[in-house]
Amino acid sequence: MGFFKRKSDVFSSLIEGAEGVSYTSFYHDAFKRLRRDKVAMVCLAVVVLIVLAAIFAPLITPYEEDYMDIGNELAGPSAEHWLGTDEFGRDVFTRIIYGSRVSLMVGLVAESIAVAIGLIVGAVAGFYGGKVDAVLSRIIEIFASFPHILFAIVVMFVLGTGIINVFIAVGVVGWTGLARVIRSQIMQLKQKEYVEAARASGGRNMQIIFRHLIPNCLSTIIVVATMNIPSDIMYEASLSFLGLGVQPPQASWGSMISEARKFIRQNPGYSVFPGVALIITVLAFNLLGDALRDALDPRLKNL
Amino acid sequence: MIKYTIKRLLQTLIVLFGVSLITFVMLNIAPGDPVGVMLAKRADQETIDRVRHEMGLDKPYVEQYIEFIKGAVVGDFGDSYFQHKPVSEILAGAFRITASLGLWVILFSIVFGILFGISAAVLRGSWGDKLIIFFSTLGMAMPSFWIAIILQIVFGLKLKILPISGLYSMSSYILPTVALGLIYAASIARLCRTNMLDALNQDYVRTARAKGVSEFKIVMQHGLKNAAIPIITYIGILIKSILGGSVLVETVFSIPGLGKTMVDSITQRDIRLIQGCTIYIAVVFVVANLIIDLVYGLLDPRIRVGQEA
Amino acid sequence: MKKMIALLLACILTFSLAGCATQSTGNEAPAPGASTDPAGNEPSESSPADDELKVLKYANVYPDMQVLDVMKSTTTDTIQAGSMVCEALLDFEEDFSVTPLLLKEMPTSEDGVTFHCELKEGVLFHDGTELKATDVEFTFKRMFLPETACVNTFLCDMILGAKEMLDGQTTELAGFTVTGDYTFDITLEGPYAPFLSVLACEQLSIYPEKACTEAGDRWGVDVFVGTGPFKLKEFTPKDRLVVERFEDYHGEQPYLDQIEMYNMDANTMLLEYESGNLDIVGVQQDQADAYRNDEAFADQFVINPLIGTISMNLNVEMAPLDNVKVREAIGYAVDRQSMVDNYLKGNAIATSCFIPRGCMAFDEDRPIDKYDPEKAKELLAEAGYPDGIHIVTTISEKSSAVGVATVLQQQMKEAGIEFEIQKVDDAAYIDLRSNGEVQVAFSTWYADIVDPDNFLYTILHSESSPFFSSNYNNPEFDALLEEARVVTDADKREELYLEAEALAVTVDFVNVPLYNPIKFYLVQENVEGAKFLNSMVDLFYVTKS
Repeated sequence: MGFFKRKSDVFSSLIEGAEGVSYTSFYHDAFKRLRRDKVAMVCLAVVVLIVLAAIFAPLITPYEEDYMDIGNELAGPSAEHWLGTDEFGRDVFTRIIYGSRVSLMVGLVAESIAVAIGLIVGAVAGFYGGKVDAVLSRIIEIFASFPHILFAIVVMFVLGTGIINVFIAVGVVGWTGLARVIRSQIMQLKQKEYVEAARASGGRNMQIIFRHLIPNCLSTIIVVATMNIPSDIMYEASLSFLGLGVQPPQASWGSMISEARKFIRQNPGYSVFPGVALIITVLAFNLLGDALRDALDPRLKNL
Repeated sequence: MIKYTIKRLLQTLIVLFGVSLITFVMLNIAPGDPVGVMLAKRADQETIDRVRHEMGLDKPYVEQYIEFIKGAVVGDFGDSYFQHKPVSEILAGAFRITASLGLWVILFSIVFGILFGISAAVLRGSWGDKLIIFFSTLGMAMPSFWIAIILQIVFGLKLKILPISGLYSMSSYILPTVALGLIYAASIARLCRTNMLDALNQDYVRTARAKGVSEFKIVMQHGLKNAAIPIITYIGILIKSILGGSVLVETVFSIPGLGKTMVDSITQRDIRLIQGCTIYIAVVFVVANLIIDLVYGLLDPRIRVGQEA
Repeated sequence: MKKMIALLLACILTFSLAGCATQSTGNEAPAPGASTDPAGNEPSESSPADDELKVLKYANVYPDMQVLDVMKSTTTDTIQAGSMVCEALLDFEEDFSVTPLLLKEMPTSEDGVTFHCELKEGVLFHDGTELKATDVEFTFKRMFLPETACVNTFLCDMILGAKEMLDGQTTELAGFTVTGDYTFDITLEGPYAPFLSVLACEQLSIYPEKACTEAGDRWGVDVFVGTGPFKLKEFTPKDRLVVERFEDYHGEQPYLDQIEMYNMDANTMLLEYESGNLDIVGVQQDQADAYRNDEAFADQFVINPLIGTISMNLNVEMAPLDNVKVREAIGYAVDRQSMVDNYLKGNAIATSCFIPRGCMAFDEDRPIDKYDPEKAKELLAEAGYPDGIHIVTTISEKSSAVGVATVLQQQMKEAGIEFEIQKVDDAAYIDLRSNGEVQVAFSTWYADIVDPDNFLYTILHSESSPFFSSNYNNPEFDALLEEARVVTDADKREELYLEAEALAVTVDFVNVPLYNPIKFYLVQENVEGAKFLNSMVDLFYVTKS
């Protein structure tokens, strides 16, 4: 509620399902199209750069994540501290680099959780239809209309605080949009001849779902997941902004922006830089998502 | 369609029941209760027990839940444990604030979104188009609480032309509206552009153009028409998320709206107020969904309402 | 054709939304408030009469300003709000001595058990009724009636018969006797030295029987009547409280016509202050430095040392803290002075005493413990932890101590102590803490009444220590406190408290004192006469030029 609406929530009901295209050359063509897209390539480069920075953070950063330069608190940018220091005398540049780990992991882990749940619920609801669908659809609706923050608090309690549980909290609330998209796609797909054929030749339901139906939704899943990553990153930032995200001394962009607000007079850069990092990352993922969609599945254009 | 609407409303009841049940269960799993928060500073076990008893929190869970459902059916969620007044009264107050701001946000997003969307479509391929795309993409990537802080400092503190916080005068609506609306306006602009361009590339439009129909007329008639459904859908989503309130922006601007009411009630475990809020949000969500679906049915006969398998 | 309808519908929807937006905003926009706004940018909105009003605008972080009835909350926020309207029998002076407010003179007592009180005559409540002894009786009874669910009874349950009332055995308060229209006696269970300070607490504000009974559930919500110099005009929970001058006040008439008190985000209110829209604001500790060292604000900056201590309670029941050597080691592993000088930028005073500066039995001679990680390591080795320990602090995300904990985490590292910080939401924290389940609990305690009893007994006595997660239980310590409660001789009391505090802090090491906090305010240059008393603000006699 009030946080960020996933884009896949938006047009799920509009999508009339992807065709059962399964040519081997499909992904090859798509990749070719993608490579010709300059913006996409730049964004991909940015994403790769951020990923590398996150992985090799200890090698790039001049300090440790929690090193406090005592007596040098809230300093502006200097040769020693490129982007200044925070209220503890910690290096802002270092913490932004380390913070990218949290943001990327949220994108990766939380979205994987969301995809796993959304895919299964959506596929089962779409395939079986009838009562199963009615029940699952209600469950989707219940989760979609539930305040996310209450969820986050309970998850944090049941599982304890910590970064992994932030991922889970983000993932567990983010699956409903994808579930709906997959549901409507599967509904369309299951009427195709090859599914009928598989069924006639004695394929079990689960086999049909996993062998024939889900692979045909793959491009949709890739597109929706990529496009959800920015909202996941923003959601983590909001949780951290409310003080419910990462635990000290770990850095995350949301918690940095939240803390930095207090010191906007002493060190304005402290507020601005993490925000810029967040914007660049979200922008890169947004544009990459657009490009992937254009290449893989243009019918999802309204996502 | 009436049958469909009735069916949907019945389903709504199931969803509301589910939401309230999950909320209730969660609140009892989560640590902390309102009495603990109330007595944060100091209390012996006797005081805690006494206050818990007075508030009916020592009753069995099932009994508490049944009591809640009995009240909820007639719209009575009881009194807030902290504000000591009816939950419905608190919600109504917060709703008025959130809705009055929300209407501005919706207006802002639609006007600017469509304006820039059309401009971009008309100017397609030019620098103007690229600028609009650039800024709308940027707008979608900026967290609203961050924009809010920057706006406050620039327009409130430095330039001193707009109020920094509160919603006490007309001009004080401007900053929160922009902070909240930017992301929606940007989304609408992009939606509008994409869908209009789609239409403008169709054969029938080329034919019309060849016949000498003016470009303006083509854009308005064919382009905007094609963009209408996605935009309306998006407005539905927008209304849903705006009526839920935005705790971050409300905090930054010191606005006592629904988002803050909800989050505060959660951190205080003001159970009745939380239940009221979750039910309210679920109602907004489900009703908005229903309306969106019905509007589709009217707008585009290809989408058959009630096509659920 | 269909598409045309679609377009038409879209347009109608768009414009109807637009239409109702303008309309409803036009009518409802000022809904949350009256004509005055903190931004003050809209002179056209306020009537001419309002402009002549002498209004004071004060903002602070008061998220718990949710109800006015001071019996319903233990937080400063509610008490501050309630005190804008109501008065207690006695009043605190700036040196925390007490003087009569609603009483003619100080209560007299021969034995320290029964107190004779006489009310001033002709004191009017805001609804025009006169204050009588029966109103005082009503207030005290209301406090102890279980259905009131008063949460501040711990302050005064030493009144005879209070506990029986709380238990629901009786509805009469044995220790309260009305002896005339304006006179009454209060009897205690036994001598209780700080009792007169208790009577001055805002939590014991006197309510009018008639108005309070009539208001029922609405008391403290939209009806709230007291005897103070200002009466309630408007109250929006968690947002703002507006009070206006009460013409028939029994004391000196204030200069101001109206006081507005806001709960605001800490950063937002500073922006408002800098823009000149607020007269007085509270400044959070970590933001104080920006103003203290800014010439433009130096003259407006008010420093108000609090009677309080920020400390850590070590849970003696959770290993490895059950070992006294480990607890001692933690004292050496924290560098108070560096934290105060660097992180807190000198905006606090380091201390090694649990009883705060400015309170009886504060041990001035005790030096501030030196930071000595080597010594800490030695002690840990002696205790059987040569490889260091891992301890966890659970902390409320709202707490001001989160930053302090982060600094300590870094300091303790040097001593081989891994100090894990678990931030949880406030309700969860309180729940865990009051069940004695937090290993290291930060205690941020400000005096309700400036007396060592309010610190030692309230937090460390075995009766209450589980509530603050130290689970401290030393019969010797308890006995000292219980004795000090009934002794009336001030020197003897001080001696007992000194001994008790030393036992808890320097022998049993159950509490690690860190620093005494300071509160900061910014007061515009044209505003004078605001009094800052511990965590409360007295704005009644402010003047503006």
